[in-house]
Amino acid sequence: MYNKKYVIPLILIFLVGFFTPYWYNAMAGTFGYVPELKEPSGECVEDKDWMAANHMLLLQEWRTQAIRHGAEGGRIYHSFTTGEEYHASTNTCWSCHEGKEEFCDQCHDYIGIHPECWDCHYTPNIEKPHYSGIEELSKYFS
Amino acid sequence: MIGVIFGVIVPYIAVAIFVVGVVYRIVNWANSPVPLKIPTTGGQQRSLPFIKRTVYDRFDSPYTWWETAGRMLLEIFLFRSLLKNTRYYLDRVSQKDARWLWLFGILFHYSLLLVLIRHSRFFLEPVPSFVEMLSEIESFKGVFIPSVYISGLAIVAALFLLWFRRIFLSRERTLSLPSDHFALILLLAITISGNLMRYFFKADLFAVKELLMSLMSFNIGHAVEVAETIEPIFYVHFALASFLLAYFPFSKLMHAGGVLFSPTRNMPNDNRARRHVNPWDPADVPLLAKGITVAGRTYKSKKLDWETYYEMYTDQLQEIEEANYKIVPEEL
Repeated sequence: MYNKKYVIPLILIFLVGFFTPYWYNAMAGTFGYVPELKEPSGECVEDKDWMAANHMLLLQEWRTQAIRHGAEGGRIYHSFTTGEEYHASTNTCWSCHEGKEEFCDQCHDYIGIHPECWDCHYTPNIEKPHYSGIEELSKYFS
Repeated sequence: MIGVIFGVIVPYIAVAIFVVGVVYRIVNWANSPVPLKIPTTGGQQRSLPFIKRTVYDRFDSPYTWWETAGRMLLEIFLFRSLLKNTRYYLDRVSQKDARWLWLFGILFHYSLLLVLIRHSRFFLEPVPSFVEMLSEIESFKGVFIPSVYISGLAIVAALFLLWFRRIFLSRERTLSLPSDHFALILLLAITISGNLMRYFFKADLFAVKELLMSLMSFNIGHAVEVAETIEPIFYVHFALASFLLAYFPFSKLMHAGGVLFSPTRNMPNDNRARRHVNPWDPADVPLLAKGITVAGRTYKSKKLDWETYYEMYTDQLQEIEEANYKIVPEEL
């Protein structure tokens, strides 16, 4: 073999680069890690496996329906799995799923996406500001 | 069943073929001797001290190790040789610049780099923050829902442009082989199926990462279990990507490694200063010539005697003899 001092490092760089997940996950101690999801109480509006892949489309459709046809019954959602009627709102989700961090974030963090829904929308993990009277304001306007 | 075949068996085979194949090709190239010093140059070579060289001459006609390394890096990251091939791409009659290969090629390769970096989210746990940040920047996070990744669309556009170049430009159509079209069609199928999966036919990405993590930790029982639950569109993308991995080492796509072994790129242009010895000159052949002494150093020429030469090239010489040619040693 010619130019061994260049070729052998090249092969090593290729192997180390290609098998990055092995040493990266081993160093992070997460080799073969899969997060455990707590089963929420109650039935989902649609089939569980369908929701796992398509919940973002459902929420998007709910948003469009609520904005454009909210006054004409757009907020009534007919489930095509169970046939029942649901109120098309994230509050319907939060009635079973107890928190964003325990449920949503588990999968989202796992595959490294951060949807911007919850920059504005309500989640049960938000602590609402509590107004306890005129005395509280005095510390801002003293 | 389809999950087990394309989700477990095919990717293992494909990755094995890819790794072994790439190492085999690299070792094979490294074992090939380079008989002549053949750097292609486009600048003033190093000569007498009063002949000035600009910085372009240094990269286009490198003399030192660093200049050669610089030229290699510029070649790898900017594809300069495609940009500089004006004899082929500049039409002298119509004065048209047709260096589409450079433009589309650089668009494709950098999109591919971004796409590969984004895909590392399915293999790395926790996902590195720069991968997330890069995805958010390139999708202009918050503009579209779901986020539209520019590199994902640009790579499809670049592949179509590269393919149209081969179809609609007459010279390129003439010299395109089926393998050229096949590589582009395969990459197009992978990128289009990936985009379809992202925007139209959703797949459960959590299960996808679960499958990949189990495959990587050889937890095959769990992998088979998960593979059965994933949507078919994922297997279109995943199986095609596995085929690409398996096809990669034995095709023209191996130019990823081949660029490093191009003698016209990776040799310094120092013909006149350093002697390049042909590596397949046999070492134990008696020296016929006494050699030339230049500046105190003696350079000897290894010329072969007839028996050794005949032994080395027996097959070819016999083939020539069979065609009714007479083979005799040269009279010195």
